[in-house]
Amino acid sequence: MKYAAKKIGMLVITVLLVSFLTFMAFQLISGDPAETLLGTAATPERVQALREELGLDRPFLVRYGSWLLGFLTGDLGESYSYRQPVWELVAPKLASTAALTGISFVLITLLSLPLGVLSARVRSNVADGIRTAFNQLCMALPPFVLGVLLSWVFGILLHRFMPGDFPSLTADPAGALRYLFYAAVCIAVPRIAMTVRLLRSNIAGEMQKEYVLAAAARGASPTMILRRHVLKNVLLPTVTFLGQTMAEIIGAAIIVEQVFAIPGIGRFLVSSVANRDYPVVQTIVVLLAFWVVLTGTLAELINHAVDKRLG
Amino acid sequence: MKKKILALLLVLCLGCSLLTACGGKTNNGPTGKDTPTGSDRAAANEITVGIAQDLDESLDPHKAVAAGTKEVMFNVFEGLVKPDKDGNLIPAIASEVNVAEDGGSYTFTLRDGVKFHNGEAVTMQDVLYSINRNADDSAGEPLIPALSVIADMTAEDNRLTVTLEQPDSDFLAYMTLAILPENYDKQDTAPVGTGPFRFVSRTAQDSIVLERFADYWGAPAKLDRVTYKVIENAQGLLLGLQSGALDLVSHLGSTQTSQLSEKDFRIEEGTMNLVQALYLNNAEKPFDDVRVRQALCYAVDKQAVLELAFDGYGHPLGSSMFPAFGRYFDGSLTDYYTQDTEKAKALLAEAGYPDGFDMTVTVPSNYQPHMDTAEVLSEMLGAVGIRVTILPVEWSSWLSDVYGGRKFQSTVIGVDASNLTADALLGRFYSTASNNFTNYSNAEFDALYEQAQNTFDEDAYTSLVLQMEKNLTENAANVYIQDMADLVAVRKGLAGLQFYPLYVLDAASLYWADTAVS
Amino acid sequence: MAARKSNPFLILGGVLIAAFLALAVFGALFSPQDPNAMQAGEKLLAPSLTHLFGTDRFGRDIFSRALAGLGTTFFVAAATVAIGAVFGTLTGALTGYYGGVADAALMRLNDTLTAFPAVLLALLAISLLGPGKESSLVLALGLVFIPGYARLMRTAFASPSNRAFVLSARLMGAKGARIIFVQLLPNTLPTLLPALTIGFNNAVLAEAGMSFLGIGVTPPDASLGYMLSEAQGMLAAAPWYAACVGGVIVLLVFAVGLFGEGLQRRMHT
Repeated sequence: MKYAAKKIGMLVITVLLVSFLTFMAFQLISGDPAETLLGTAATPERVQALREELGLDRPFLVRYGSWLLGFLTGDLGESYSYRQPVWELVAPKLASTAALTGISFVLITLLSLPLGVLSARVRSNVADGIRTAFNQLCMALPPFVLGVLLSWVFGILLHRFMPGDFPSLTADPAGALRYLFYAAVCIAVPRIAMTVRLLRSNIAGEMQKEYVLAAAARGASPTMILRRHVLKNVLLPTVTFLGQTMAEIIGAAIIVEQVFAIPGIGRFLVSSVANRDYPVVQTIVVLLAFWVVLTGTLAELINHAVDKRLG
Repeated sequence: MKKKILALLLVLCLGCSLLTACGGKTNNGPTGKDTPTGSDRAAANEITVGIAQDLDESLDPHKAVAAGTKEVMFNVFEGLVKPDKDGNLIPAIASEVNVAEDGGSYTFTLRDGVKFHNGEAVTMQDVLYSINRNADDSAGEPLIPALSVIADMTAEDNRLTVTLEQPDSDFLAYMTLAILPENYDKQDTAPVGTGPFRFVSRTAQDSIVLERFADYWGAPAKLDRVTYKVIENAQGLLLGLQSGALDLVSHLGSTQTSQLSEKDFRIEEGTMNLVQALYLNNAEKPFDDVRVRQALCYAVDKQAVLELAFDGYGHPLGSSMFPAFGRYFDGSLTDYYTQDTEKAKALLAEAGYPDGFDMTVTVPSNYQPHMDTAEVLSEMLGAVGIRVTILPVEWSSWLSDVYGGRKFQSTVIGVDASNLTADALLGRFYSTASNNFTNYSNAEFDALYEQAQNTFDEDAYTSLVLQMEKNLTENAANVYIQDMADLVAVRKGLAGLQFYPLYVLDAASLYWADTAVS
Repeated sequence: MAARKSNPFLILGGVLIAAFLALAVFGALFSPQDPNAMQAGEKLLAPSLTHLFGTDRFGRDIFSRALAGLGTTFFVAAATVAIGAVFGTLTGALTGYYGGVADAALMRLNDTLTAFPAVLLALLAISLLGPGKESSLVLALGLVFIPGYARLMRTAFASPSNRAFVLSARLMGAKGARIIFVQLLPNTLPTLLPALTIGFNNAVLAEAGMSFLGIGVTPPDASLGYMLSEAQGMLAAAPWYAACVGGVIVLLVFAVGLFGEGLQRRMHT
């Protein structure tokens, strides 16, 4: 319990650090919200007036402080671009992305674990070769290429969904989930291949260890050994890897949301960065950071628990 | 074991297809049908338009600046006058416009029965408020600086007389400014105007919805509803058209339109109405030397740029003016420089660069046509010994570094006109203009510009404009390339598309041919 | 076991990698055609004897560009993985072995890096380091890759079997650094090596993704990822473009993967 409390404390510190660094990074790179909003209609006077209106004329630390205070009291501020409360803008997008990454993760976990174990037991060279080749092919497919291919085949040739017409999650949840499924496949395929590969090599490595050989010498069947001993030991790195995957598929989601025109958080982050819409960027970055750290912490907690039992 | 693996792969593939097949069966929406074209929307008398840029700014027409926002909101707002498809200004909220003989004053008669989308009638009060809001200089510069020419406004019944300090032939063009209700404070997010369509909703990064305004004073819009779907990715727009999700997409590239089937789509070609050029920082070495700038012009073959990057679409240009400006456009300047590699090398040698030099081209990376042009230019300039590095930057970096900060060597961009006045294109080359981002500084040009400011005779003014254009060409202010083609993919059955000399899409004229509602 | 004596993975992978490297070098020195030369009359031609992979939308020879791009991709991916793996392993070793304050501080930093959305991190890094430079791209991507390796290696260094090792090494009087690099590092190789080849694969994908978002290599330079992101926009008009470039990428990643697989098997035997 104390361990968990410590972890949660670290989580908060990390998220705070990320929010501060993001705030600072935008001070360093070029581009200014007021100049971006005014575009080619910008004149020094208009930029100055808009900066004052947005509160950008205040010193950096004051702005960060007031943002943090607002954030902690539940006030995420108003988008510079849309002149609407940030939460109102972000919430629906959060739902789409959560659904997208959720489906991806389920696909990855459900398919890669059995496939990984199975492929570790393959001994024949030919099958092994085919497996390796197929695996490599899946790993080398960038999500945007797969996305265009799937849209083409399932959207345009087979009419299974209509690319470019993402149904609203609230109005047509079934339609929205079906639409998201294809996008999720694009994210999942390379990840499944990677997880399978990792599992296979870890299991193979473990199977060479002395205790396994000893057990085999005692006459235990390979299936028994795998179930009783090996799987427990390869669980640690696999859980770590899956935790990391959970964090990384957010990155793939940014690209896949573009290809499938899904109004999600990744796409919104990219456009808000381009607009220098700080209140939106800050909110999304904090949400994503929280998510990433949370999954990492969970993976560690699971590891910790398993470790204790083993150790 | 080998078989087992293969079997498993098979099961996996089957599983995937099964999952999707089940999904298809439970579906009752339009996606499950065999031909998910725009036919459902035709029956409902609505369309979906794909746009590459979100309307991510205030929707208040006096504050909005992005061309993409104006393109959509053109259908929601109107001024006392408004442009038609030929670039003429026609009466809108004013039913009649009378210009005094000396050009010193304008009298607008307000049209009877014009209503705002919120149901309120347009009053003289609203008109005065809207003009004053743009002319107000209490906080420094007014929203429309040219309105400072207004000396006095007097309202009498339904007639508004605007007296100018001096005659200004461009004045009427500024009276296209949107008339807004005075006591309404949600223009930023829920705008209210008088146009043929009323604003319904905006979902950030997703869609904008407009509906026909039933109480419109003029010929009503033919469609009931227009949904603009935001899809930034070019391939996504293409897929949306092919899948049946979109009915119309403007500003496509020729690579994209060539992939659409002629059975379902018609491609219409207009012009973007902008000046695409390799803009040079005239204050920066080596471009402060006119010979170097001319050498660049001689090194470039405009027609070849169009062939290579645009499949031959586009209209080559030779100065900062495009054909939609009619009498102000001097077509003979286009071929002032014809590609001549030897001449270019000679000019470079004369300027002290016999071995060429290194230069950078800063390009906003989100604009593929400009990136493509830069790529072709780098190849052409390489042939005369100029080594080009392309610096792709974000749009906001471009705005603050190149446009605002003028920290650049050269850039490829398209400069458009915010209204149909020559000043909108040429004013930025006046040496002290705040938007003179190329730092062009030429005494002769400045003199011509000042003279034009005080010329009220139309013919004399036109002649000065032509001289200014020629000045830019002769001094090779920039390496002018083209006015880009605007390729619009329109679903078969959808008719009535009109091209304007401005960056707008008039949705009111569109209609489904076989279900035409009048 | 079959793989014990001959190691076909290692040999085939090695030969393929050598072939790719040779092609990349050969391509740089004797490109069949100028990879940047544009031909208006030869746009989007299908593969033929003069243009093995066909031509792109500027009429450039895709085969020559793929050769040039191969070198770029190889370099970017290898450098990215090198940065990620070296710093990641160091961090992992220090935190996994020592624990305590160093662990807490470094892992906090690491978590912070992980918690940044990768695209944002890369975008910010490129903005700061200056656009239009390959080195910016490599550093930005490398930075993105560090935390993953650090986390993985930390787990590996702290694994139960290593703990036993450390204990016995300490009893024999070995010092920290020596234990880490001489005793533990070889032990973690089964974790590191597949992670390296997966990392290479990820780096190729990441570079392609960056190109897709417009922040990858700078045209007219080409990388395979850049070409692929260009090809996806004309899948219907020039399917061979995506197929050829995609094929090269798959083969390259395949070769590296095979090699890694072979290495790993050799260690286990």
